[in-house]
Amino acid sequence: MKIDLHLHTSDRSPCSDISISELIAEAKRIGLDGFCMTEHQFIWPLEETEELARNEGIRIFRGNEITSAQGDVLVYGLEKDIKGVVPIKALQKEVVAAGAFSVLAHPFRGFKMFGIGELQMSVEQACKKKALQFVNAVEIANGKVRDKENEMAMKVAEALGLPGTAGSDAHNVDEVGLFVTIFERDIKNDADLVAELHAGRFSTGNAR
Amino acid sequence: MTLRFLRNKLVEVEPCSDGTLDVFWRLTDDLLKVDARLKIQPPELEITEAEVRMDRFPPSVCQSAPELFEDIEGVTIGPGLRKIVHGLFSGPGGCSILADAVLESANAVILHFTRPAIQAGESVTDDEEKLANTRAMLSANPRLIRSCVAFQDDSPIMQGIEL
Repeated sequence: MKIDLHLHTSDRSPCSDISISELIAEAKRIGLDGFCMTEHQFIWPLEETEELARNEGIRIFRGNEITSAQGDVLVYGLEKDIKGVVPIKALQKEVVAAGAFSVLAHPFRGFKMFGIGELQMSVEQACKKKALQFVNAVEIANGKVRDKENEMAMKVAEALGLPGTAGSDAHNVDEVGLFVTIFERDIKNDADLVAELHAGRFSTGNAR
Repeated sequence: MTLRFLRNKLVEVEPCSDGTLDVFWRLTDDLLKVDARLKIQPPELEITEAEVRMDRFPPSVCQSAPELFEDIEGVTIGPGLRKIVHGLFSGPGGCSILADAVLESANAVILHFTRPAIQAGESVTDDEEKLANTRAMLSANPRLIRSCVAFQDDSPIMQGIEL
């Protein structure tokens, strides 16, 4: 199953230009089996996503992109509403307690200033990034960062033995599916998604 | 009645043999003695270790300062630092002394990288050469770019720097 695990809609994230109806239409058009909405500090109500999925005939999952002091974290399976600046260590405690799954999003994004290449950071140095100790996985393919930053994330995940997920981080409709996570098994709901992430039965690819 | 209150602050940046930087921040006054240490990992300038010790009469909100201070580990010195630091340490129930310790230490780290180039530039009288030295320093320390008005994209200093 091809699922875009990192998306924002204008309905719930002011930074996005994609309405939920545009997202659904585009996901179907490019052949995604489903997508996971990861708004900033917000989780969609289950009844809304269930109704949308039923009416539109596409799998819709719910996640949350939480801003931690140490970087953005994609969280799947955590219902708790988390506001403000949270230390990543405390966030991971919540994730573990809830049986949820966390992914360090775009771990080497250059703070919108410059890329990882200019920093001349080695893989060994990058592996020391503290935030990597407090997540279940690393986002190794993100549609909003430079190739070198994704490459570094991939090398670091490999070196540390952490699973790697992929997501477009789409804020515009033409970005949907730039990177997707490909699951081996059929995933019907949020619980299945979390279980398959924990099981590590997935790889990465793209739908464009 | 005359009230007398004396406060001293000191920040030191010490390069270590493994390439990291140790920053020591000390505050001493009649009521409080604070010793904080941050370890910084270049080139990303990530805070990898954070320790603090408070003696004399720390405010009650700072009783758990050593544990609280560890929350800054993994944070990078760069844009957004002020917001993160205030989010972690300020507000009701927060220990704002820790915010001062981190922000003033971060400032010292930035100065640690900029000061040698500025000092070298002071001995140069030719304006073009002075500009070239500053550009070379920025190219070698890209974290500084856009960190202040002088290093914004439209600044004359930035002209010709390809990043």
